[in-house]
Amino acid sequence: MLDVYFVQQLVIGLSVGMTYALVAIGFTLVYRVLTAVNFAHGEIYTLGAFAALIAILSLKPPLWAVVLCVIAAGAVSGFALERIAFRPFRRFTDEASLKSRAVREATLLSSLAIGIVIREVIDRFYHGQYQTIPEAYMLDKPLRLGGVVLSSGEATIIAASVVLLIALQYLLFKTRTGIAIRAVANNLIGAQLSGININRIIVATFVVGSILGAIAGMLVALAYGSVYSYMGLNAVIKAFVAMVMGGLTNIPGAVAAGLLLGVTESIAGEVVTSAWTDMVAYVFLLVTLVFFPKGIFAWKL
Amino acid sequence: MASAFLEIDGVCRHFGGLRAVDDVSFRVAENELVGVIGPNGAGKTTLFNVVSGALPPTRGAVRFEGRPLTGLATSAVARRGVARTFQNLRVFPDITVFDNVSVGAIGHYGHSLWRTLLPGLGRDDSRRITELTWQILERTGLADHAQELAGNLPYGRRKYLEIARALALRPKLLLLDEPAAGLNSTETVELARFIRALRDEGLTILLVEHDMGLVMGVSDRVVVLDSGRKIADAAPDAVRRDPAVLAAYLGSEA
Amino acid sequence: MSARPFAPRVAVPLLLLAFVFVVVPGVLALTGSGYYIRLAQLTLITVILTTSLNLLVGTAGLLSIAMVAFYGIGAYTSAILATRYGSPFLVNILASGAVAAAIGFLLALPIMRLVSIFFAVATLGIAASFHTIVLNWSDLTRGAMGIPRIPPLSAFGYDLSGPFASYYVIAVVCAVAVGIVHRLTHSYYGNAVRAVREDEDCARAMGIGALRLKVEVFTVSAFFLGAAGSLLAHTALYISPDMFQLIESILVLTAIVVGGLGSVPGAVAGAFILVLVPEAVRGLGDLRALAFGCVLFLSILLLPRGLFGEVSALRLIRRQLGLGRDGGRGLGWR
Repeated sequence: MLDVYFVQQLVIGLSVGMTYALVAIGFTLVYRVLTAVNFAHGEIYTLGAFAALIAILSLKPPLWAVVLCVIAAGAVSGFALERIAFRPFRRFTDEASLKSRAVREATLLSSLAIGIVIREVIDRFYHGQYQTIPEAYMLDKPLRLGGVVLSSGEATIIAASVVLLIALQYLLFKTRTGIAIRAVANNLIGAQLSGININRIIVATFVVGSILGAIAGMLVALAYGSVYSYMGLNAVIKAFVAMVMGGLTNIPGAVAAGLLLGVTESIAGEVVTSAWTDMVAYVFLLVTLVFFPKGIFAWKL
Repeated sequence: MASAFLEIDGVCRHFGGLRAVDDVSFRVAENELVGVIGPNGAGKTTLFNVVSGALPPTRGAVRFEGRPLTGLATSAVARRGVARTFQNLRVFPDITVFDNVSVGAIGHYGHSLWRTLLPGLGRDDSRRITELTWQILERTGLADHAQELAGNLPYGRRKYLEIARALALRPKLLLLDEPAAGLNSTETVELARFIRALRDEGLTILLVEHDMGLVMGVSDRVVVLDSGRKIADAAPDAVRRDPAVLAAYLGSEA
Repeated sequence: MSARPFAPRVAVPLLLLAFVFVVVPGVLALTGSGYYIRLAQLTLITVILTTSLNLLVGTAGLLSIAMVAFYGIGAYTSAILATRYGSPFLVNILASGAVAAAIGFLLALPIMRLVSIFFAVATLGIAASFHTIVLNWSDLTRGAMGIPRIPPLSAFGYDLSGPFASYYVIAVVCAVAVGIVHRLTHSYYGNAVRAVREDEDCARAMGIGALRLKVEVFTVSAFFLGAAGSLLAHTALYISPDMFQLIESILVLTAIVVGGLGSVPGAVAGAFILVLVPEAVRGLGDLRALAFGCVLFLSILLLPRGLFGEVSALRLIRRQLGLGRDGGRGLGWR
């Protein structure tokens, strides 16, 4: 019989892992389409959390409205980010120019720069202090599910993530935009020849990825209560590791990796102090890079 | 019995179901100039990439001076004395002609961290690299362009630069990948003369080429590929009259 | 081979040395302000950081975010040796460099085969791991409390902790570091490294041992970063994990991008910008990172090659004036 406590840790780990997975998906989508890393993605996550905070504090709306605000914030941020940090550096949309080393390096640094700017601006506004979500909105009621005690926040994260993943599947496989995104990601030249507007699809990719990232930020804020300017950093490093473990271009792989990471961290948290659990991600990274250079979960899509 | 200088032994290279190179074997003797030709899609480039170590063969082996060449890393192949050029000209465009050629010379003499840092040790190497580079530049007629950026050279000159860089490696075997691609007939004739001269100076050359005129004019022997298989391996005159060769070419191009 | 003109090749370094060792201290002595001397010290330490990182990122083309880890390894090595074992500065700085280089070498071997983005991610992991380790391994590093009361600079029994003495010590180390990096980049070794950066497959086909070169450059870079860390420890006299966060790597990376990747003057310029800009905006509060984010972004957008990038207007001007050309040697990469 599985120890109930163990199962509980497992489930908590899954919820944490889900947030990593949601952020990792945004990374992976952009990487697949542009072969570029969006170093400002963590800030989108942070912006999602702050958007939730601001919506709650200023309008006191019902929860579903907060969700809509966050989705809107995510979409707008993603759009703006693409415009500011990525678009100016590409002149042509053919494969060689789009994915050239110069463009990739430039956008790596420019997204890094914008990320820094966003974080610092948030710091200016909030003086670097933690903000808390008002009690009324927090999802921290304990739930009992057959002996396992979870907070409603953690349960919501898992449920919401599953919903989002299903929605993403639907988007990518059943809608025109989603299919176009996959086309561009898999075969840029073919997509161009089919008349797909590459620039618009790139924007769409950013928007989708950013919405997921922003929602992840909101979920974490509502579940754990604190919002601060560098919350994106930690999530981004873990998401990055998940993406690498998934072989950089594999979304299900990144999701699986995120879950594995979350669960392992949770279980490790029982053995070592919480600060050291960060090392779990780095160890996974090292192991992946050295022993599985193509990724641990890098099955061919 | 002396082993052949370069021995291509039963080399096969498959890409999934496609047999790009199918059981090709031939030899190149020392100081021979062998040309490999064939219609489009015959597998010349694939064979070239296998011989130069860029692609591993699916089956078979390539031996150089009796020792296996297959399985060696590209830099090891180069250090064994096998230099190559690239069909799509990979000179370093943003730096001078001199520096481009020097890369080959550096490959030949080696690049040691300690000898660079400790003044006494490094000077000789540096001098030798400089001398070798100038020597090659003179030989290939590029000495006047030495300080120009490689990217600014006219296409024809860049071909010679690519060869010069390979020569700076002081190779025993030179692999030329479609050297005449993109050249007009005058340039091609000049290039042919140059390649022939290199062979006369003692170099062994294996050349893959599309331009029949060049190959027939300079080669000691010609190997003809068609659909991945070798269909002829003889002196140019014999190959010119070989019915199988004519059929292969008539079937696909003028 | 034409005779190399004496003037530019030897004159420029002499002028620079004179500037750093004579002019600057002279001016600083006149101002009589300890603050400016401290600033000059910081600038020179930063020059070591930017120059070392530039060798790796600019010349070798290996985008690395691990700088702060090696800097920190050097700092902590010196601090621990000095505070626990009372070992003298000269031993410490060499140990710092050696330990950082050794760790760099060991880490470089597995990660060097990785494709560029993976490599950058690995270096990110190194920097992040370093911070976590140093924060939590309290037995060795005293964790978040940091290591206080580090003995100041001294050599052979002479106390070198005074502002000018410290300045000279730092200047000497800086000169050595810059000199060595300059030697490496302006030599056929440098040509080989750049060939690997420009087209690794082609370089390999020319017999260049790409992997070996990349590991060597990584190790050399780590050595000097470690030495700089030692200087930091013995001048700041207190170090803590806070001083070695990821952002530091990014700031130095920004500095070399703005200053110009791949060129030694670019690295120096970057260091100056990195230290002096925050001082200039000091009145506006702790805006260092924000200012840098903006500077980085604008610089990528407007000056893709940085101020003194390898192919830049300034270089073309210098060439026109016949300065800095190597005559027959023809080392075109600057």
